[in-house]
Amino acid sequence: MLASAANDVNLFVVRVDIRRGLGPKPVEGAGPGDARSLQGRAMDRTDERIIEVLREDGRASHRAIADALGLSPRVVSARLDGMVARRELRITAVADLFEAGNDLVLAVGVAVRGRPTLEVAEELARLEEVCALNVVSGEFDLEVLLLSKDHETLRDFVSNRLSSIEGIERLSPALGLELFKFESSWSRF
Amino acid sequence: MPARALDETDRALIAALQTDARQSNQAIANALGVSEGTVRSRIRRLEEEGVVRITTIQNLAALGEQAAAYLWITCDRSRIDELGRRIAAEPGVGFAAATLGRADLLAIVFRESPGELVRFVDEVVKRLPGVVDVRTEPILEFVKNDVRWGLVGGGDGSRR
Repeated sequence: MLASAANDVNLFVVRVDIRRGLGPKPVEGAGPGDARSLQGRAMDRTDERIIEVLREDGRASHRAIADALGLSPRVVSARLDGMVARRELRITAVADLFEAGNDLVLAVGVAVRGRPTLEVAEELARLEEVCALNVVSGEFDLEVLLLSKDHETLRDFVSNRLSSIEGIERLSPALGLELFKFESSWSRF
Repeated sequence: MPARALDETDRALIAALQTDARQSNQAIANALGVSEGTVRSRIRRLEEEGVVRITTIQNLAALGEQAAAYLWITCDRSRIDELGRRIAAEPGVGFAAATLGRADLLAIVFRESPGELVRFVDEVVKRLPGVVDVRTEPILEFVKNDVRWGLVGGGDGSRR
């Protein structure tokens, strides 16, 4: 893992109720806690086209983007700065999880009992190995995507880290045998 | 494909790009104590070899309402690979994997509304040849999404 070198700038741990709309609540001690709300300003077509270019090449120069879209570099620069300043967009490096040293991907259903689901979620979210975590409805209360370097690291994680979290009644893992896609284009920040 | 050993410079470079992907090569070079040329060639190599992708992440809040779910798919086992690739190619699918335990395939899908999500499950996934059953587990709240990691080097068979 690149854990030691990684900073938590790109580690967004927040709560959003998708039914009630926006109510971001950063988890204490996990990531930058600016919960400034956005007004849902509709992006126009020019913004969208700039994002499309950057999605393919996040380090494309203002000049290259401008040339590709028939705009001036100044317009590109102003638009991009605006989107970043309004916290609509970030440009970042995504590292391949396998190249970064992980061998195991697991999707683990977590049944919670005797403790509020969100409390358990927030505690789990602080763990480095927990790559994604969502509250779900159905047989389980939480779904965790877990990355692990190897079998031994996983065993240590389960017996020493998970076992210390109160309120976990049951875990149901699915081992990832082959990954076809794992690509996030959104987060909260 | 054995995982390549990334050296310390690679790791520091990746961390720098995860902090600010649009800082100049020179700024990264200064911070890492290497030459500008080293930064330029390493970034190119890391991208070409599928180690790193420099891309955009949009704020969920700016995207408006979203509906998302985990789809646990049971299917004809001889078609797992074909179905996994097929589903992974659908728009809005952020994660797709063959799994051992709970189901044969897991897909995590995002749509603009609950209605769109239902239509995707009914009209696309359930109609794929070989799909036996789909269990939909809706996401009620997004708690964590660590965008530093993903599948970059292309899901090319074998273990991945």
